[in-house]
Amino acid sequence: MATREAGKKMIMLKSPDGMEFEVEEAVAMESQTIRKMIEDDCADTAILIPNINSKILSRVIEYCNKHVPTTGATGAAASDTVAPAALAEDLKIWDAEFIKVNRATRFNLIQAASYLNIKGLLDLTSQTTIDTISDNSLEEIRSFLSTKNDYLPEEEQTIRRENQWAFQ
Amino acid sequence: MQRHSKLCVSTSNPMFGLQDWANLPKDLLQSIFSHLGSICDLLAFVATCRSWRVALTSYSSKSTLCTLFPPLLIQPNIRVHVRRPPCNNGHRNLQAYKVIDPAKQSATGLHCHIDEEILQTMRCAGPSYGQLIFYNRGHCVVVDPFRGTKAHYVMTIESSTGLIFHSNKKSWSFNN
Repeated sequence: MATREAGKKMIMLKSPDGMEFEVEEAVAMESQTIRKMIEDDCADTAILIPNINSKILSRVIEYCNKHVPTTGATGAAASDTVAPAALAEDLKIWDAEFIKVNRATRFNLIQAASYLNIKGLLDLTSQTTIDTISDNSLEEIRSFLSTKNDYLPEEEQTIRRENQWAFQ
Repeated sequence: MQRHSKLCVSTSNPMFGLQDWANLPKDLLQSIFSHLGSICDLLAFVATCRSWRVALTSYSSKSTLCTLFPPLLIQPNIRVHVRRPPCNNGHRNLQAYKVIDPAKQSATGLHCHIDEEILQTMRCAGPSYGQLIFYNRGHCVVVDPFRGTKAHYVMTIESSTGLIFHSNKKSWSFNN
């Protein structure tokens, strides 16, 4: 098995607020959007990631760093030495801690995950949103998500009447 | 050393600004609702706001949604005491029964309303789009257990056309 120890290729990511992040290419390529840019030879020096500020971008990189398939010094994939189930469990615990963020950060993370096309992060943020919906009353959901109730009063009444069997 | 950035991605999706979950892009909403795990969660999702409802209904037809989750189970042997639904058209013996969502067992307050007499005197032929079909000797009742409503039909079999259902307004025929 070939190793890539000698000179891992690095990529520079720039946020619109002027911060630069140097990351391994493999980490950056967790994002399908960035992967495509690299493959299209569109990323010779630095890639500007528009719309994602440095705070969110650093969290996204943190996620990708953790989730990139690791290759040890011997060249053996980490999954060869650690049981895959234990590794998956470890990642699950890490994910649960990672997503314990405030509403604003979560909102930005889900958009960043979608924009950068990072499936794992999109799944994690989507699932967390569903968990919020699942465990709370309609008022709590709307308040947590800061969504305006855009139903007309009569529609709202119909919804509440029709859902009475489930939410009484 | 001065670095040169090459702008490769569009800037048409401004991320800074108000956090408006209601106006998330459609594909992002689709990603969220692909994680829905139960009928109860689905109801909560569409009740949150109109744009979420629109996104979901434009993505999945009613018949597709019906197949995403395991069906709810009615427990006709467990009665619950809840307020009657407002539209109990003609039901004298409307009774509330416990409902279980196998995909979300933590939801404990689920219930439905069915006329007790129908349950005792008729056989259930099965569900269709959230309604239950009961029959007995050519008489057929379609019950909406969540609204507490029902519609009566008379069932006849004719050799030329097959099975015919008559309501007081309309007839439907089914050829086997």
